[in-house]
Amino acid sequence: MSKKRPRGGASCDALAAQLRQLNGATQCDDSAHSTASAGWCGVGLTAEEVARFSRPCLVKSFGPTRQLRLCRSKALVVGVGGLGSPAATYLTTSGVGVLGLCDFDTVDASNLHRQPLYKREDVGQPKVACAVKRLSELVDASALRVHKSEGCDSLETVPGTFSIRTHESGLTRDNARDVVRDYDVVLDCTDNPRTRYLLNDACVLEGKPLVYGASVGMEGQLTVYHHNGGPCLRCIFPEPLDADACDVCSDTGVLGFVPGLIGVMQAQEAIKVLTNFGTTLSGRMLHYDAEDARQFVAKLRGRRPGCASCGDSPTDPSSLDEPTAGKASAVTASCKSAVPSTPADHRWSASRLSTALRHDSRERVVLVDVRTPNQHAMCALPESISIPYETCLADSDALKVASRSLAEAAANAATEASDHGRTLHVVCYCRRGNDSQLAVAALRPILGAHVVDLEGGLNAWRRDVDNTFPLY
Amino acid sequence: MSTRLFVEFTGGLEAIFDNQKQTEQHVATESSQTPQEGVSMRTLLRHLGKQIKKPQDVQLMLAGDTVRPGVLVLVNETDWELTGGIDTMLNDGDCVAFVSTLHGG
Ligand SMILES: [Zn+2]
Repeated sequence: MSKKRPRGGASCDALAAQLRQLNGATQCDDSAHSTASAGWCGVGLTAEEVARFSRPCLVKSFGPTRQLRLCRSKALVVGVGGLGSPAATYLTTSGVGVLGLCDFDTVDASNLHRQPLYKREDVGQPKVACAVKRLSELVDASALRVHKSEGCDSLETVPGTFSIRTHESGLTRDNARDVVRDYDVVLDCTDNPRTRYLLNDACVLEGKPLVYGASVGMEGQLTVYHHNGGPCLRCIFPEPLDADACDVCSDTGVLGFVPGLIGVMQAQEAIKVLTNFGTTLSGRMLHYDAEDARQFVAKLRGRRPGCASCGDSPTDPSSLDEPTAGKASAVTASCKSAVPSTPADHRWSASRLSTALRHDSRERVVLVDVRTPNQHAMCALPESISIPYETCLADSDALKVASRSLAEAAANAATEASDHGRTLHVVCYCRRGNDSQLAVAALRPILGAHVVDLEGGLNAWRRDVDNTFPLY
Repeated sequence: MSTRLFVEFTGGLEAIFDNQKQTEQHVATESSQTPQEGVSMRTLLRHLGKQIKKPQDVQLMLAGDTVRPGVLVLVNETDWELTGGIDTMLNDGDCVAFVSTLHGG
């Protein structure tokens, strides 16, 4: 009978050999921690760290020295949403020493499909507190330390421990530099341009590399800013554009796996930055399109000497754009900013509409849903006709067709209404009561003065009339 | 004579061009240029501008005779700032991508 090797013996031998080989070469800044390993780990990992991180230690080009460096480094995740959930999860399990979580927001039901850190019962709770709870379950309870941002200037990474530091007031103009100061790398997992520019400027001023991720719809982007002499966000895109605020998940939608992929890759780039491993995306941008699973990595321009943020004579940051405090405030309003001021008698309140829809009403209502067909199919008021507002605005055949069918419906309703001595109204509605005003302005010349819109849209309907109507 | 280019639209810009993400464009060579010199980015932008059907869509991609801020232009996967910007000369088979920045998270 041949002698059996103990299971996993080859792995142990390889690790031991690598540790021996690295023994002499790694007595630099990490030597202070070597006492923790009681002498048997050449680079100073604790026994628990070896047990946990043997697999990355075995990767030839990564190895125990880099793992140790990762265990003793600090990463900040700003925005713990679709990108931040997976990024924070992988940074935690990968062994980063201090993980900062910065977000002021609370969990919304619409977050759950792409933010696997949160459960149904977390809805309404602060994201950061829920994230701490979930991430804590991934590490040893005895190793965990949780710190509030208030009152701790600089955290030491203690061998064998994992610290989470919370920044629950989010990123603001007043705190941005203080928030990023103690970290070795910052991950931009936010969801709006103003916070992204604020974070970029703070990272440049504090000399922190910034791992930028973004996703909308089926597409994602990833790059590393302000690292190894590479460009920052303002080198490529000098100013935030208001129009950019339009492309947000709450309006355009997003499929959960897209930020999932990008967020995991943000953790990947952050770990590469922290451990000086491989080739980061500094000076390059990865663009991913999930629809046909295509991606490319573009070569970006270098640092711009004239950049207002990282250039040779930077502008006083307080005179740069005026980012709004917090994450989502800039984008909660509808994007269609150029809404006409609609006269009050062209608008109905939700309760006015509710009264008109009652069985004993003296009024007959034709409801027109001017949202996108997908939103109409998802949830709509009963018996409403779908005419997307873009169709209403376009001087097109589609409008002619739509308005003909609407005019028909209105005429039928009018006949029926007059048969019963009732008056007819055409009520346009949308999600928030902005697009519906544009639709009314376009439809009145065609259909006449009995066209009105629902003030506040479906949000107001839910708030004032029917709280069982889905909120999205 | 015309130059055959592969032109790609991403980040929502495809909506301006009938939701086509990858297109093939045949851009007429200007009289001042020999066919061997190809066409300039400037000529391509003019060529694309004519294909935008809705007037209100033009500003989503173009500003004046160039590309609006926030749209990254890549010539063969390289930032056009490195290839000569609007004066970059394009030849048969070159790839140009218009990448709109994403901000969602
Ligand atoms: Zn810069």
